[in-house]
Amino acid sequence: MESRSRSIQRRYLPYRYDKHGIDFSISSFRLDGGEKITDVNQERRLISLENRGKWDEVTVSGEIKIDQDVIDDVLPVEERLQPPVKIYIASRCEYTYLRESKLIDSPPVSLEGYDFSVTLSRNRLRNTASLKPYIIRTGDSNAETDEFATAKGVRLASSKSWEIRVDVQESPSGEYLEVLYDSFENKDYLPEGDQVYHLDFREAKNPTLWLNSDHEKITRVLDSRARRGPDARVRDVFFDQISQSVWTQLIVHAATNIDEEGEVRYDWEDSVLDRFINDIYPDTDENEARTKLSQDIMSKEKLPDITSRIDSALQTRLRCHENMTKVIEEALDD
Amino acid sequence: MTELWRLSQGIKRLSTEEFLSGEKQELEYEKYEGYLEEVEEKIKLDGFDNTIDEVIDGTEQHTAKIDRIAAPEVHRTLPLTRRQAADEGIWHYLTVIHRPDFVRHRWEYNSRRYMEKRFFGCGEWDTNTLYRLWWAAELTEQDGDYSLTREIFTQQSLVRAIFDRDLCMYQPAVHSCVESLHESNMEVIEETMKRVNKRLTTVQLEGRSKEDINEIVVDVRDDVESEL
Repeated sequence: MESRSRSIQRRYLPYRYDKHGIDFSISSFRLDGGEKITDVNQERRLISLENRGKWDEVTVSGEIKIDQDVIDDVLPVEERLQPPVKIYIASRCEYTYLRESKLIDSPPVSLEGYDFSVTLSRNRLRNTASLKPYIIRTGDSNAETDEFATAKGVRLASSKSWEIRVDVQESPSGEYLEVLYDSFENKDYLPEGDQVYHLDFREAKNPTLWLNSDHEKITRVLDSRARRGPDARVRDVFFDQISQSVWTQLIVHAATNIDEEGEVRYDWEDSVLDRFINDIYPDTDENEARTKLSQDIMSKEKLPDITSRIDSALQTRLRCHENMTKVIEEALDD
Repeated sequence: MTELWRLSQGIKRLSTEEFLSGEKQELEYEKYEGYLEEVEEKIKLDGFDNTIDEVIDGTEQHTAKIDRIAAPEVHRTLPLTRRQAADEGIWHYLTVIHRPDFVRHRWEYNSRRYMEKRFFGCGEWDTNTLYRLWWAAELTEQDGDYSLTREIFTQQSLVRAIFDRDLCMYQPAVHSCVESLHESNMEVIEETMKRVNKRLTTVQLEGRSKEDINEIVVDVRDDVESEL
């Protein structure tokens, strides 16, 4: 069966796939072979190493179990007694282009469960890494079936992954801004309520974009460093939405600081105007455009027109339609 | 400065049309001083600088051939761990402050957005000028042998077709694709990689050896060649 996109395939592969079929738990870890540490967040499936000082290797330990129900679910009848499958744990780190695996067992696999340990080297990791188990076929099948996978190497079952947070969470890199996460609750410099972000000009020379970490699911998407796939596409669209507002505010701030000579106060203001002025006032000399902007932004009559120009300039430059199209393509079409 | 430094976030504030277009060749120290940070481990840049000088002297500017020659040497003279190489701050330092001349030698200015990517980009493969060379070499090098690195840069379509995809994170897959496709033409490369990528969406790469992946890539390539 032809599936049309990776995101659909994750939910609906063209054969039986049990994405949470493996019981995968982590109970402890050791740093550089030291004492066993059981401080792991079971609920969030998270191991936090960011404030554990210097270390070179982390060894993570836990248990993997598969039961007969999963075997029966993903393999044709004739293969269920002696499943032609192997179990392994994949480790990934997007930041360091890392994909590795540790084999847990080959056929015949046991239904008793396995204790495992996986060792990762800090030199090969940055920011966050993940561990995820898989059961895959070890050989082709002769079974005539549309319901079950028959090709060697195809994945049959998995589990939710565990995240290993290696470094303090890096805020997304802002072009002209510091971009930082914080809770918006009870902070006098941040707005109350459900706001997702706030642009802070208290230090006018270095404006800061605050992202509200109270919105956990949103910040997890914003923090994704996926380069492709649904995570990357949704993140990019979210950032486009934030960018429209943030750039508008930056342009307006810069515009109000243009003096009679067309100069501004801060480097970032120069860069922002540099970037957008020709789109706001096409076919106009740059110095003249700056003067015009500084006048128009102060004029009640010109305000509707200037806001429309800024919006149009942003849509041209940010090319939001590209990320929107990619989301559609990822979700509906490969 | 002949030691590696890094630049903190926000350095893009110094991105101006003047600098990107080459009208201003370098940024003034007072402007970027506040963004300079030390790296954890000292790395000397003398070997790297000699390499860059030789590449600039020995190649015609704005040509893709530069990548083929420079990538192995950049990787060899910048002995970074993957962890260090994932730090965008060091790449920004190298392209924006230390060797902007190399960026201008490789890329012709055709738009602000395009050049900003080459100086200030990072994270995605085809952005920062030096980041992309180092990582392509890291993922194709085999025990000090850079022959696959040189082969992957024989065609820009090959390097893009591989590094635009998740499979680029799995070294045996990269090696297999380069070995199987470096002599193919652009049409075959693009169609083969598209189909291979589709086939691999149900296969867990980490569970497959290079030989397993070779079977898939060669099989698909042969089909594509017979159809075209």
